[in-house]
Amino acid sequence: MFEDLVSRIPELVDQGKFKASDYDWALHPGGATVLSGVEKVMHLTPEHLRASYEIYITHGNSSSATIFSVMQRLTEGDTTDHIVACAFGPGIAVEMMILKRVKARSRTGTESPTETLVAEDVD
Amino acid sequence: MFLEHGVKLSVAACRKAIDQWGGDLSEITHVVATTCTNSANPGYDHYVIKQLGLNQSIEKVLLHGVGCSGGLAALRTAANIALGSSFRRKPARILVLACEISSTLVRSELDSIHKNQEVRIGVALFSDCASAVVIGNGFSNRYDEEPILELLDWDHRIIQETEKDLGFDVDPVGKCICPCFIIHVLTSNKAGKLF
Repeated sequence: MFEDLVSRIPELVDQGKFKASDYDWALHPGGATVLSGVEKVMHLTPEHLRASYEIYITHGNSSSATIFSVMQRLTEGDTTDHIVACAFGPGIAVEMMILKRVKARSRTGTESPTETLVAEDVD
Repeated sequence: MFLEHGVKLSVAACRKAIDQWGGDLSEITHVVATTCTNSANPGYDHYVIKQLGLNQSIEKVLLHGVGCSGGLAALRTAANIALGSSFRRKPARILVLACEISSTLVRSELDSIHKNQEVRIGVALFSDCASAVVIGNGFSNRYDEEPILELLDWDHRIIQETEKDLGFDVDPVGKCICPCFIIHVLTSNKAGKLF
């Protein structure tokens, strides 16, 4: 799933970012074992999942609303240019997204991103 | 309880998101919401829209049955709406909302403790929260919007034959959650197919 997603985004293919560990992850903190399980399966470090661990430790699992808290926490600090967001739900369903940090200095003012996101949350 | 506290929390989250985005309420074109801790009809999104002062006839969608993945499912739904609007050469500024009042689970959890002397994971794991974001497409009359993230692509998958491994159903005293088995799925050979 991750590989398929990366392989159809031209800029990631150009930059050769094919490994899960090339990205910071905003992973839904379903539970401590979910975090450590995905960390192991995807060969990540706790550093890649730092925002997920922090939100889990400080706020617990608020189901669907939690992923936005994790994304906000991650974007408050320095991150990789691209971020993977991932959550599990009943089914078992897996939702995965690749997002790009928009940095002020990289904006030319002449082009608009096709889809943009302004994140905010209330705990 | 949800319609009292959940709606209030949701309105606060939406106001914060709209403030950060910097646009006007009248520019919001759609609302996509999700929750798995309430099943009111009309949905809680109706009351949030009313209290926010949005046009009550705004196009809206409330997702159901998606549990913890609802946040990203709502974002994915909104992204598809934004792309649809782009195709029609129309601006889209979509308010995406997720709200969970997990405290409503307490009744079912207390009942389990009382009847079976069994403390389940739900009561220890889940918290209350509302989150909101604004997602838009490239069509706009304004040039002062400062996006934080750009959504490049997404995917949605079902791991076959795992329906019983992660669930959330209504029981006579509220809702009961059984998320424990996802751990086995993540560490089993089913996870390989997943990633």
